[in-house]
Amino acid sequence: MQDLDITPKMATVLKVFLEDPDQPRYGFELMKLTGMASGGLYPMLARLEGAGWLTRGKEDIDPRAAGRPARTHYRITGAAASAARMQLAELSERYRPPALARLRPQGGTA
Amino acid sequence: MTAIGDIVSEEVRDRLDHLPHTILRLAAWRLDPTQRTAIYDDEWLPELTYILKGDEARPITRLYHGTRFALGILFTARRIASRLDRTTVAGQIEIVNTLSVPISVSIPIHVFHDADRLYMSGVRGLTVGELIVLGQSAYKVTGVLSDQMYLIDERPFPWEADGT
Repeated sequence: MQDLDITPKMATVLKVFLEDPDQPRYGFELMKLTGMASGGLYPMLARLEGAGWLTRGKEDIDPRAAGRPARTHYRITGAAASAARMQLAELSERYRPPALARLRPQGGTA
Repeated sequence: MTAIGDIVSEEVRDRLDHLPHTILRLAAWRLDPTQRTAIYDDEWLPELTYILKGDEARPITRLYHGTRFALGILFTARRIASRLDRTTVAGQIEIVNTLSVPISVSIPIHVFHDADRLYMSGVRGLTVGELIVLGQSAYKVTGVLSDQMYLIDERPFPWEADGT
């Protein structure tokens, strides 16, 4: 598995996978859950797959009964889930506003 | 009058359904031919078909989602392909089955891989343990993912393994 620098958009995708790492996720489902367009999502899935963070599989359906071909799904690997959790925590820490700024009164009227 | 309206609207719906497919085919043409099956046939097309046939697929909604999906893919097809190593090996397949009776059939078959595993698609009815000889490589079926998609391992040629 290769190291990746997680971008905010990639973090959005990884967060969906981390909600249930055993749950297979499909492209259109990820588009709906992340609000990303296919043009942004699929290159990212390709990058994550190429780096060994995601594995692909096929939907378990009978194509004749379903009237459509089986879709490709993605799962996060165990090692990638651990790495993603750590990097998301670091990313969250990096973007967390300073405590003083959060507690400073914003003004207002009595 | 209502009947004519129904016929016209059905005709319009049918034609509109072709639009996302046409856009996606354009995207497929932007791929290297060796990647087309592994990316377009195995991933993009099934996903688009699902979008257009899904439970939520009302005519305008499916046209919107399908076209949006296909357009996004169209503009990034080459970027997606460049990040994947899913080139396929295509050629005539020889299946050496358990009865050791070689069967030669002229069907396109494709072998591709992701970071961890090797896949094969394009032929139906293989079972775990069958040995596939494709060009200069031999593969053993280690898992059946669907009726046309298999997990495989590269193996030595049978005659090399037997020492004959």
